[in-house]
Amino acid sequence: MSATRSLAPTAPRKRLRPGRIVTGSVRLLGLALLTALALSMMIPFLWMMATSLKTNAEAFTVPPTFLPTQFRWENYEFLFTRAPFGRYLINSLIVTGTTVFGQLLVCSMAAYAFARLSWMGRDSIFIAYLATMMIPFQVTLIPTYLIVRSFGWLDTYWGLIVPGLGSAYGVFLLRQSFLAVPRDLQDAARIDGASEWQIYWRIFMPLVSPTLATLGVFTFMGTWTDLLWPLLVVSGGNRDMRTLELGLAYFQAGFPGWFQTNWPQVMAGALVVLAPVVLVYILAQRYFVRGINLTGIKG
Amino acid sequence: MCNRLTLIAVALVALALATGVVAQPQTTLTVIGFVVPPHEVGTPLDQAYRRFVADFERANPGVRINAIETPPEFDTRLLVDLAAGTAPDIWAQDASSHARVWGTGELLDMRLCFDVVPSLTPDRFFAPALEIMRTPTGALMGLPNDFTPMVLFYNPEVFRGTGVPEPRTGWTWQDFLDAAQRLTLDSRGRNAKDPAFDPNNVVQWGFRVRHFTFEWIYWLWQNGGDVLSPDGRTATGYLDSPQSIEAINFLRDLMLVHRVSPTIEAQSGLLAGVEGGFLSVFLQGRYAMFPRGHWELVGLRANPHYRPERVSIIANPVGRQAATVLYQASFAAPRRVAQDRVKLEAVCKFVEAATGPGYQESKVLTGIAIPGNRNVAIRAVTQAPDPLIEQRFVNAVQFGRGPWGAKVTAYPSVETILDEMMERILRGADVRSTVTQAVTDINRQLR
Amino acid sequence: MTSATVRLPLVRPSLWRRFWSRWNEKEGYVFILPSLILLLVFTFAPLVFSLYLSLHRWTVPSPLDAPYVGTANYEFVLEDRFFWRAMRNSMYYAVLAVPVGMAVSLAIAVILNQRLPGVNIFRALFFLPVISSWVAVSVIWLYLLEPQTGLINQFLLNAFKLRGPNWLGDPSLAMITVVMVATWKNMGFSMVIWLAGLQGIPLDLYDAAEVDGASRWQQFRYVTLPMLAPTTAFLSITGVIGALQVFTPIWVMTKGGPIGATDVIVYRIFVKAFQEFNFGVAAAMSWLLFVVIFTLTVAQLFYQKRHIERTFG
Repeated sequence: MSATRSLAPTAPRKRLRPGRIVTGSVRLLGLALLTALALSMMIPFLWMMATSLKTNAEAFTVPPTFLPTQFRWENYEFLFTRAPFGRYLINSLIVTGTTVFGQLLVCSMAAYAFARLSWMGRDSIFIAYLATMMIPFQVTLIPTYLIVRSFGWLDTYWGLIVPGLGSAYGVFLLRQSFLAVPRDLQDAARIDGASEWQIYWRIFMPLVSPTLATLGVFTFMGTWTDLLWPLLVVSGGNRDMRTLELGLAYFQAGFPGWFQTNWPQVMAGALVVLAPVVLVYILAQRYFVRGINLTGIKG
Repeated sequence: MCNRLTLIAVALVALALATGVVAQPQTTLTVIGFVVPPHEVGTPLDQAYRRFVADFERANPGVRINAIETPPEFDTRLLVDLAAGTAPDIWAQDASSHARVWGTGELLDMRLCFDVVPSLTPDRFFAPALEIMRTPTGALMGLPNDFTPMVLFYNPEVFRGTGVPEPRTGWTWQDFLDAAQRLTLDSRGRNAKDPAFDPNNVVQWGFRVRHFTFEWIYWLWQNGGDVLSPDGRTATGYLDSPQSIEAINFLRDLMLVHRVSPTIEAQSGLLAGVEGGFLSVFLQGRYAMFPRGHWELVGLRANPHYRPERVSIIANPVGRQAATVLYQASFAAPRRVAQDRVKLEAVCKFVEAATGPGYQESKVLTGIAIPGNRNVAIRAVTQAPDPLIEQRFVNAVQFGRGPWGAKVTAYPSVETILDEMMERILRGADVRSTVTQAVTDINRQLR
Repeated sequence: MTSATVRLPLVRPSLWRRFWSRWNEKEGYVFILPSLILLLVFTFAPLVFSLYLSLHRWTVPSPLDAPYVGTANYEFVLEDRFFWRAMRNSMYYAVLAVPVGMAVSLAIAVILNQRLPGVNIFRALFFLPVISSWVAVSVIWLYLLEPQTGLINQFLLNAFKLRGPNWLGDPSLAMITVVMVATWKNMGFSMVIWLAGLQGIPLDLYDAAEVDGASRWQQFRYVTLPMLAPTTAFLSITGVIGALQVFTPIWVMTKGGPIGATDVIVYRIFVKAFQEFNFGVAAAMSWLLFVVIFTLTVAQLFYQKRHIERTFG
């Protein structure tokens, strides 16, 4: 971090390099290479989609066939009528939405304190934040579970949401972003008599919105696909509190050892889990990449 | 006057009603199991559960049942829950990991229930299945729900088609090897005894050896060996005893010398692209025999390739002695329920009902295991879809003993070492040095 | 906290005054408070508890009454050959996955950085695996890598008349296969960061290099690569940390096998805690892992800093 600081002045950026224009054979070659790579990247996904529309028997034909003989939408119908995937979807939306907004608020406040305010103990606390980023989550998993349980938060949205609100990574990311804002802005606002909260909320937050979007998308993806935590917090008793990913895990485990898993149905479930993430990514892609560009590595 | 009398009468009646309600103690039991996942609602199993719970609540008006689906990683959850004092009131505890749970000292000694509910007596259970739950101090840390001995499943059609007589109870390792060799055929119809036999093009296998300990540990017992000392404190002199080494070699040679079992890698190849996995492969006649317990009947009967004439079972071949392992699940409860008399009574009554005829008979229908209730199990022999199979299962019980996991708390660690030891051996590692290494590793875990 | 504010002024009187001085922007405490509380309750408290666990033999009913066993758990782990094997496997994974992943994603980023049609679509496609859940991805790959009938080996057979290997079943190949799948999954993330780095390089540098007659390769070698040094540092540090913590693909695809070939450290911790129920030893293992990750990170930061200073004076 300190290594990058020397390279990355906080001054506004000079002319960026959007990429040079290349011509002729090089261009064609690159395009062909990319297309081939992109295709091979996509095969597993296409395979999943195709399988989700097959019958169980079709999923096992030798040699494997890609397209189903007939599109079996029943697999999806089953998920929303027989298994309560609709309820799971609502839970996931509530939990993920709250976590994203809560984390953005909490982390940006902390990041602002680290980046723009000088207070006693700041640097030592920041080092503590950094250190926690290196701790494997397995270390804290069981104790965290016991703490959440002692609050009586099992089977509640509280238990699913609150432990995910603080993120040292998010603080780190936003701090980098706040640091890049010129000092004059803050000083000018102070002279104008703005409170620290107003400076943070009115001036700095809009300036770092790309980073907020980045963190938001990361948090969204992490929370949406998290399995282990909901597994612990939502005990088997309350199936109405399950998130989509957990519901899918239960659904898959619902085929005990002696029944063959119905892969098309499981693949359909995986697609239901995946679709919102893909949607968010497609919508937010622009902010996402720009956010990384502005913050991730550059001090 | 009249009014006053009426008033008193009404008051008295009200009081009586009120005491009646108060005297009717209320409690809720949190029970793991007895409920199916949402997408299995309406299945016969679901109906059996619902009927049982409804009947129990009707017979015990003060008790409500809160049935919970078994969560993934249940054993771990349970340990943490026991630690936090929020364990469920009743669950079916797998004997294979039981020691780790009762070792916490947090389980209810079920002998207490024999006093609380007089109709619940130890003699309703199969003795070998019950004794698995007995701790060294004589306590009973669970009462059998159901159980199964490990036996050999075989496909009579394959035997007939190959001209090999079906196995008979009491057959020996030599008989078994001989049969397995004759049942292993290459693409030109030569069996594994033929000098020209081509092990690379086998169309029908005699047997399937795998590295999982639960499938091979009783072969050591049959040969007079074991993996641990009787007190469960060391592997030295047991896993590396001549008897154990001989049994391990016998299993290894089935795969690597006699070629009657596909290699580990070839096994997954046989399953490739087969809907229904191994059971389909077996029912289609590509394996003649494999080791397994009662539960496999559920999957076999549900498989599209199932025909009654394709499935039979036989007790394991006898080495120096007859032996097998009994896998079992028992109803267990946390110790804390004893603090509340009402709850304790409810728990004991529930266990009484769940090990009584009504619920236990549902196991005969599903085919999941032998009922823990002895009378039900014996009656089941005639009621089961295939009486011969059921009879042989029940007969095999007398040679069974419990898994090490019911006795030794560190056994889960021991088992992972044993699994890996066998996998190495089956992949061609030197038997003696691999076993010696495993003994060292296991002893470290037991310290 | 309170004891510190009471006692410390006696030792260093200036601290008390410093705290109340107007240079100490006390709004900072308000801004940091929500985050700090969360961190204390859900990270530090569990950490302390985990440290406690690693020094005790886990018992129930109350883990707080657990007998103190000193460093016994740590001694057990340090003598445990399965722990060391898992460490070796994790290092092997990191040494394979980090450079390969970085090189492949850099190559793609360099191509994407040219002004080609449909760059946005390509970038989105390459990023898709990153946002997918590991469970779904692992399951699909299990299906594709099936030795006999899986798509990959069928393709090798039909296109090149090659008999494909048993990808996940061969002890010497299993880890490499996991690395391949992980590279596929994670490549998009590094790619986006490389792209950001590439786009931050001022064009003037290339113009100057071209004037000096540098070839395209020389431009890449002497302009692009050095200018990407901070990105390289960032990616290799996060890469190593991530690689040492890899778990889910192992859990879904190989369960640490065959014969322990993919038994990485976090998987071992998981097995110790959740399958063998030995929380004390598992906690000790995770603390040792933390020490390793911390040391590596510091060493790498130090090395990179020197390297960058050497390059740029």
